[in-house]
Amino acid sequence: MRIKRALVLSGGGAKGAFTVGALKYLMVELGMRFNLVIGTSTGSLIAPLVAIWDIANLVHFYENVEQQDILIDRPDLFAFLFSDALNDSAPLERLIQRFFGEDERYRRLLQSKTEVFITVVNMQTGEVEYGNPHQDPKPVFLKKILASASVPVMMPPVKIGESQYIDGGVKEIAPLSKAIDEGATHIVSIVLSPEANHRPPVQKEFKSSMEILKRTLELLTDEIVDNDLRVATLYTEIIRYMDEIKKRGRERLGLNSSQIRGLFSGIKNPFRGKRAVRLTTIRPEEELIASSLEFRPDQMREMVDRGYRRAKEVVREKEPHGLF
Amino acid sequence: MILKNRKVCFWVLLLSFFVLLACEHTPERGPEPLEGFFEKVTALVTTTLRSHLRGDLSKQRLLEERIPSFERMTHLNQLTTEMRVIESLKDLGDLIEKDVFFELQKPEHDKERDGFNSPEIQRSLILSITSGMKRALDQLRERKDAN
Repeated sequence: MRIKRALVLSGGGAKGAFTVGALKYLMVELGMRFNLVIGTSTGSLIAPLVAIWDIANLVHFYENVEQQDILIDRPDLFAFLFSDALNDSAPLERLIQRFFGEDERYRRLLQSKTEVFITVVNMQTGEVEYGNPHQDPKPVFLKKILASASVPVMMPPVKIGESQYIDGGVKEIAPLSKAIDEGATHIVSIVLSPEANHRPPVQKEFKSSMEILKRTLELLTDEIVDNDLRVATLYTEIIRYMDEIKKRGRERLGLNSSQIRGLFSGIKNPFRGKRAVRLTTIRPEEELIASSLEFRPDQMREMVDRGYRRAKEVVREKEPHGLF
Repeated sequence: MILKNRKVCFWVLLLSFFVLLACEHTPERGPEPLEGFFEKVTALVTTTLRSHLRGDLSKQRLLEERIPSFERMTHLNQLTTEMRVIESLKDLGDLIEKDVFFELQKPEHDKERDGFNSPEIQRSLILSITSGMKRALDQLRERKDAN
């Protein structure tokens, strides 16, 4: 069986610094390489640099970027009444151009052996679509990176052709299903929120509509990421369960392979040709920061360090089986 | 008449406000991508050391004391050997070596790879590593001061 290693990078705005720390450990210290990397939102800013092993620029970007380098506040009332978002994402667009648009770096991305996909949501069709440097022309791919990072309402949608695109995290925060569809056998997923039982209740009353909107987005985000992980885990468990049934049929009932196939014939098998994946998830043990749209270098550096340490712990826990 | 003038003033101000908003200019901001081998080594070393030294004041102090002598080294091997001798900095020497070789294996750094043992490259490498050490300590100090 050919091994296909995938890296799945979830959304989470400034919390992406945690991902960067984890990748520094996995790729630089452990020498881990991936055949496939799929990113959503902040993960889509990270994915192309992972493909060209540019961890130095990843740490440099996430440790030094500030709020105003990403977004410009629009006056709330003005934005609510007259525009498509509360913030302007022009600075982020320029940063994307600077970090990914430069010809030499883009050529390296096209030559990379690591396939890159980034998730976006088409507002008109409501469907998840993927950006890929081999399938999209460069300007479209760069726009999709921006779109993937554009949290709706907070940042304007990105127009590509006739459609408007927004953050892929609206429907898929940890795009594990894409990794499975692409034939991944081993997946490392980096998720930026803790498990549900480690999310403490917020001890305050939400008074303004903006606070309520932000909290609602957080709750939706947590729910989507939980579902993404649940579906991937369930998928693997079902395939393992079916494999076990077949094995027991052979061992205990003495059936041969064609008899076992016969038992399943006539039933539509949604898992035909699919394989169980080995999934390793690296996520913080506690909430990283209160707002994922708060970019403060000191805070980001601390998150890089937390990601680094957490990845190390997870790898140790996984030993002696190893991640791959 | 006064009322009429006030109305005109109001509309002129409102119009100016919208014109200013439309003309809003955002200067180039944010980090520039790192291009060279040495600046990339500095970035990796900074992160490695900061992640390992966070919360460990005695190690931070020890490293700070040793930086001037590390700066005088002429070869990476000399630096890592020196670090391995110091029990609490032993692991860091290995990790710095990993940072350097991770960056060195990339096709875009063939010049540095080909002339790796040359005195010029080794000297620049030592300086890029010690810059990373200083930067990591500065960042840890900044955080502490802020608290």
